[in-house]
Amino acid sequence: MDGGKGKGKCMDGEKGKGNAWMRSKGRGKYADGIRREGDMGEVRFQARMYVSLLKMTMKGILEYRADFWISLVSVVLLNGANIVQISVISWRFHALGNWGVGDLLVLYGMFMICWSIFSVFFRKLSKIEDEIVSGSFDIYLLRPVSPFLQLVGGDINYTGLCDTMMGAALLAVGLRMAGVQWGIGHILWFAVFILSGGTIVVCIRFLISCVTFWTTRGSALSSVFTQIYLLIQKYPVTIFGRAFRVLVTGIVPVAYLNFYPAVYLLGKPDAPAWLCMLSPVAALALVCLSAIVWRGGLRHYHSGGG
Amino acid sequence: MRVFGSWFKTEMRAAGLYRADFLLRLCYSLIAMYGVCSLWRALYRQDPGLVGRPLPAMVTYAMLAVALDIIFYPSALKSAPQNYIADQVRTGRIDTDLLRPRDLQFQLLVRNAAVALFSLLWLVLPAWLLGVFFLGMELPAGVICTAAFAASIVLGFLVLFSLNFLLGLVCFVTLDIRQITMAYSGILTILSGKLIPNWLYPEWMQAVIRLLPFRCIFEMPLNIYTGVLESGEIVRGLLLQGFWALALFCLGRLAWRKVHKYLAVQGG
Repeated sequence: MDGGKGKGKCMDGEKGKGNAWMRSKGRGKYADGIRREGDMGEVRFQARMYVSLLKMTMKGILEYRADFWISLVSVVLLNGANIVQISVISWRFHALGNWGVGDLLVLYGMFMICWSIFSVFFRKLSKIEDEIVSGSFDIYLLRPVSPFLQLVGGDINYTGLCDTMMGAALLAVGLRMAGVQWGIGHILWFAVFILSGGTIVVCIRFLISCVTFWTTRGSALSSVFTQIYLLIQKYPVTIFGRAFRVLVTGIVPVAYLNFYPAVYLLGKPDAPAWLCMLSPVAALALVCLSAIVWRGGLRHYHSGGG
Repeated sequence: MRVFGSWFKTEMRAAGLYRADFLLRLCYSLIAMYGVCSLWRALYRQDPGLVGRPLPAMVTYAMLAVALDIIFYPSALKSAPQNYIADQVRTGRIDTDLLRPRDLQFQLLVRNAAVALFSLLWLVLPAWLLGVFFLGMELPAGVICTAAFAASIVLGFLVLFSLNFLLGLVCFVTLDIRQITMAYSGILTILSGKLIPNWLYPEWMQAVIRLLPFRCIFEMPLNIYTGVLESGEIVRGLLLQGFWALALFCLGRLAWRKVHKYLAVQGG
């Protein structure tokens, strides 16, 4: 009974894929093998393909429900030590600079929420290295759907929602402790900050992965970034030196994940408001850079696999 | 003894294979050192009295903790006992370990010591040098301090190894220790004096920490290095580390015997 049900589901997925596939053929979009970007029909087609890829992936992972609870425990444990550190420091010293314990929790929570956008939808980007090195990247180039969509559509990691949940909980507690009242403007800006922050995380990870197009070896660069992220996540940028502040604001704008949003939303004097509001600009700049690098990378790509 | 010697050499050679990774690993530690350095400077500016140490000593403590983390992070070494045992149990290859004429515990100890020594020379030492030259780290307080510090690191390593080994043995019972490993790493981070010096904790927590072996890993060596302990305290600290190292090693031995018997019953 159970087996039959599973099989039916699977066939459903196949059929859905087949339909979309044939429809695209039927429209003759790729009869001449040339991609026509900028065409609205093309955009709609790509979007539909992304959704159907996501649906298939969701069906695959819903079979492992226990993973969610295990991940939730892991996320709490992994962040536990940092939370204890923040609490002890705030308890002993009352604050870190002009950042109280509530403010620091907001900083930490904002980071986790932005990060979770990456870990839920775009985690597959960190696999580009493996795919390029092993040569399995070739498959994406043969199909009529944009390689980028195939890559991110092939994975949705709902255990990443544990990051979102813990981040939201810390944010809620932090805001309560900081005693900040939000108006409608704050809520709107909060949404903008989260979206921009998520975009920044995704783009940075994407750019690191794209380095592999040229070096054809897994770049361990991401571990260095992990350390920078950790500093950003735990401490307000103002405790660091000027060079570091310039680095995380202008060059690799990771301070826009949590520091500038927190400054704005908590009304801190650490940075002028206009600098905080540049968040979407930073995100947009990174998106453009990513697109350029991605195109260059695809053009430069020669299969590493045999 | 010769067998152990060749294990040692093999592991040393394997550890030296990936040079580019080493450079990035060093970068990783340097950024972390810069981070703690900035943190304690900021806290010291705020209220010098509350740090409980003069600033240079505190900064040295924190940065050296980051540097030592390269070898003292529970699963930092590829052949860390808990990782190795978990792998062998999962893949079912643990029987080959039982067939070997040398005892598993000693074998893992030698291999881990080799990797740790390699990392100490090529990562911790450069990180320390860069810290001294560029980030304002202090030198050890004297010749006796240096010698005691070296002994303390060795003992700290032994304590950590035995704890890791015991954690690995849990794998025989639960089959999967990933979640337990995370909890263990978290506890070790909080209670070993790595992230927060133990004297900053509330009194009751300090009392608990004094009863546990975790502070032998980071707090003791770091306190000896920064020269805040008198010679009597240094000797007592080293003795305590020695006690924990020996006790945990024997405990690991006992537990391993038990597991071995249990396995013999299970095996086909």
